[in-house]
Amino acid sequence: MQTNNWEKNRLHYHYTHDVNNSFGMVLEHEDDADRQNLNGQWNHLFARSNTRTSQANLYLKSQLGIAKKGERHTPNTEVGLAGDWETRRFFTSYAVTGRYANGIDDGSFHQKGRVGVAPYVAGYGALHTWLMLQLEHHPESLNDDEKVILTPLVRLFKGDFLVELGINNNGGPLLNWTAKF
Amino acid sequence: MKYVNVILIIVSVSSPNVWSNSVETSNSVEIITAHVKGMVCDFCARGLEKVFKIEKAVFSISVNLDDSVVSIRIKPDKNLPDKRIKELILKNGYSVEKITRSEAKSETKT
Repeated sequence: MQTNNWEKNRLHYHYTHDVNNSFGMVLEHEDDADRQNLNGQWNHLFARSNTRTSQANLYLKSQLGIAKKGERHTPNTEVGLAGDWETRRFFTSYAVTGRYANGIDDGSFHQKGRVGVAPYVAGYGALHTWLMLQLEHHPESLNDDEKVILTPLVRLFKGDFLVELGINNNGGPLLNWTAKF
Repeated sequence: MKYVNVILIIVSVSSPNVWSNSVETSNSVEIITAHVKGMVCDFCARGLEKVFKIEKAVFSISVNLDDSVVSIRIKPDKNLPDKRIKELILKNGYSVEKITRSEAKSETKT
């Protein structure tokens, strides 16, 4: 999985151990902050609701690793809660994440929400299209323009490959892709 | 007599039993239909296809998101118990509403 947006470039390899637990490695580069993070990640699904027409999930996401800024290296931790609810037509998600890297940042948190709608309901194996709106809140950002970011995006997937393309209210691009093996 | 022999040869050669060695067999194939809850995302349902395909008893699998069903075609003389089907579906994070079994005729002509 790779995500690229106004804030960071992120490469993410994940192994799903079982339905409740997945483990991964995350490599991040934050251009503006001149910061790199290399973290191990554990995602834990602690609640799921299945109905005939919907699915809802709650996750605990945690990361532990090393942050590098300039010549300085320090332990880096991230903890987050994420939830989503979707049908074949509608999608919503919310995530709140806090992180701390001693001496590089004194703790920060951000939150992100998404709503989406599928303009058509595609069958299994067909090309699926979602139109989404992503809202991010970075209260500690030094740049006022980056405290709240709104990104309209298109999500496309077919088979084991998913791609997201968007552009935010500051003109910053978003390009995410995920491949399943 | 010569003409009679020629006629007999023509009749015997044109008989379908001489040329045709076709054998018709009729086997019944078991189709299992699992009604699944939570299967709303194509990208997420890919895992179901993968885990069922590696089961030795499974000939083929098809996923229908419209009806929330997974249809599993079982190989002749093989069996896939309900317990195993539920295990595989739960392992992928879905819930099983019910499982039904039916038989379809499979005709083979050689």
